Amino acid sequence: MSWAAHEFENYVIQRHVGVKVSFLGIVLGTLSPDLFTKSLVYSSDDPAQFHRGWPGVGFSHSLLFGVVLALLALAVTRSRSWSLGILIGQWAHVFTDIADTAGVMPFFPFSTEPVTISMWRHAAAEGAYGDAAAYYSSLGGVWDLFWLVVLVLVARRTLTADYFRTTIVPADPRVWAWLHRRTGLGERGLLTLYRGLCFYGAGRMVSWFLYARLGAKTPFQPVWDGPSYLTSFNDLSDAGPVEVLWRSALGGLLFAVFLWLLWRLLGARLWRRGVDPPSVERKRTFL
Amino acid sequence: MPEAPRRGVLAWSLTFVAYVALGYATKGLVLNWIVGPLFPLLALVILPRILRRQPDGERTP
Repeated sequence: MSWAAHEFENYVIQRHVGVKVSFLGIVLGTLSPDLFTKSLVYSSDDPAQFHRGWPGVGFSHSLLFGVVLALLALAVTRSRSWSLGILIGQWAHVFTDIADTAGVMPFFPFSTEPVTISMWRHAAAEGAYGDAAAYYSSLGGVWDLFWLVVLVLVARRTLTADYFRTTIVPADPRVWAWLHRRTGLGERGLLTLYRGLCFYGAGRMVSWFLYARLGAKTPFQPVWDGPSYLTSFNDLSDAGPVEVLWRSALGGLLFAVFLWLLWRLLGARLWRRGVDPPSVERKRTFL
Repeated sequence: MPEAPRRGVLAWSLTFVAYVALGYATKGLVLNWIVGPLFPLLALVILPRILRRQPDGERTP
């Protein structure tokens, strides 16, 4: 699993989608695969299987799960920006988690074959602290750092007050206005709240890295398929690369057909009755 | 750098150091999805506001 990368990628995505997509929607999307399942992962008998496999809650790390959540959001709120945000955020989480040995089932239920590039070992079986120590002893920690660097290089503007004022709030005016009314926070407070996720990502990255080096004293082994001090790989499939490719290609094809049908039968209708943020609608009127 | 942004950077930096220290010491207590993102709001906005509201006599022992 990825740790702080899931926090940083929100801002990088937001930089690319701008005012058309709700930042809070993206955040909800990136959180959704682990939101109700992560606390149960560490207490299960087979954490990797439970977290990413089937049977288990691995469906939460599938592309279809994001589609269902996005359609639900569109049906209930009629907000296109929230629906898109949840979809993009959830899909980003799925693709980010391909990197560990347990992998994800992107095309569930059409394929239950885990897809992984095995950059680091899924270590939930070590317990919460052991998992953190293993992650920040492997390429996982480097992966987090990579996303922080991308955020600084590509999307640092998203953290400015000006960006918050001109893009984040106009993409989601009702929710930020509601937060203002309910909490009494002014612009400075809401901006601090908005930046909080980035702060949390950086903070937990440094804290857990220090814990791994000074507390757990695990060896730093940022090599492919590391850390090698772990004895279990937690790879959920013993299929070879060709078999994985074939099953995933078939699953992907079936998923694409299903997605097209779902759009024709339901998605397009919900999208038509959905609404954009006022600032996007104004731009369209001018065009 | 003008005075106000400099003070902002300093405040965020000190908050970050405090969070990392607390995170290292207490782990799961502050390194979670609820407390983590809300920590800067509590430290930089809400706590100073509460302290400002207290009469001077109550602030010092």
